[in-house]
Amino acid sequence: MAIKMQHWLTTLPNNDEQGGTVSNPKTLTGAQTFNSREYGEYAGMAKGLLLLNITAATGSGQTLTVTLQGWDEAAGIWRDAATIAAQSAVAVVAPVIVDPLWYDIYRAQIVVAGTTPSFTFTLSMIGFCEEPVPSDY
Amino acid sequence: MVLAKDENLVRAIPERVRSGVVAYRENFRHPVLGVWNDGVGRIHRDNNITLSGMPTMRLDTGGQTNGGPANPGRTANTGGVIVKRRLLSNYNEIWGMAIWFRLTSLNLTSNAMISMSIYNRDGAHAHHARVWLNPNGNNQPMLGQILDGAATAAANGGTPTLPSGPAVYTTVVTSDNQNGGGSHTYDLPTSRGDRAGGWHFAKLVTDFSALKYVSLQLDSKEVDLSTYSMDVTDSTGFAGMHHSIEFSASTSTRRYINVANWVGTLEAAA
Repeated sequence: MAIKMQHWLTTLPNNDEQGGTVSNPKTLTGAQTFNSREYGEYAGMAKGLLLLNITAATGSGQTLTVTLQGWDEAAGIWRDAATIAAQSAVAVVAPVIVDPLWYDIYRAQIVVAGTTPSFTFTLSMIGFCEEPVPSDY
Repeated sequence: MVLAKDENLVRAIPERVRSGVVAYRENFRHPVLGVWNDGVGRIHRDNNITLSGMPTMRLDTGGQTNGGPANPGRTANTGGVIVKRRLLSNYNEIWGMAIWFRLTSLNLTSNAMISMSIYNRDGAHAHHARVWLNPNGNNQPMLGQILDGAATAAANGGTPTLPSGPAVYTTVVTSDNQNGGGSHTYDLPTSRGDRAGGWHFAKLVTDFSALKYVSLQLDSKEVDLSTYSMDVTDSTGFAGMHHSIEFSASTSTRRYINVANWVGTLEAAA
């Protein structure tokens, strides 16, 4: 048996997720670096499966690169934990395993580059940990 | 080691809950939190700060700001964390909500607001009971200040149920203890690593039949609030009862608190 959970990784830090209107699927238009909100949902998870599904891609020389970053609390900085290589077209991108999920807090950094680029996509991560959880843990 | 079911249940209930039947408990043992942040900032299951051998829940503003209000308002401030459990109750029961909490990071004795609420809606109005757990300065005694329904309605003159109107909070209890926000903090980038901290306890009880407060316990002090009314505001939002904890700040400095062993109690059918 296992415990699994999934959440999208594309909410802005100042977005309230209630209402289902803000983030999934996500469209990013124009060259930019998008930093998601901080996700504490994975603090209890041991492993992750990073999932990217691109349903629209336009522009010239456009690329979309996803980096999963973890919060180094002692230093107060974000550190790269996993990367999905640059994508340029509609694709069901091969999942990337993140094992283990060392950090409590993660965010997605999404870099869009190129000339008049635009991408519509779903970015999420499935978290996994073993069951049972010890009662004294 | 897996504990027997009954043993696990007993150790999960805080001994300071003096009344009521435990209707739910959030001890954060499960890796996926069952409560939801309906605001900004973040919450997470925290194994750096534990209580009674259990993880706790950290509430972090994430640098988001609340606009600098004078108090926690008539409705929850969406510029911060609003972590909640929703239940359905038909205005005929007396409910309690209890938490342990500690001021974990620096910068919590000013420009930060901590509150807990029980509120319900009937389709036309929201009825809020809220206590502002006000640190009240550096290592001062913490104040328990409630959203005073009658005083708030009076302060709003001809529009007594306007949600955006000013709120009036009345101090009903003062802890004998220091708030702990000026010392014993856990804030690694500034060399504070105190995992033990100083844990407060608060329990709010409300009567939805009478639309009155019942009582508030802050640390070891318990006060009768039966003369105070809940606040009434216009609302067509989800007609359900909410138990929530609100945490926000008026500056972008990251700050955080921890909550342990969140318990909802059914005190009586009214």
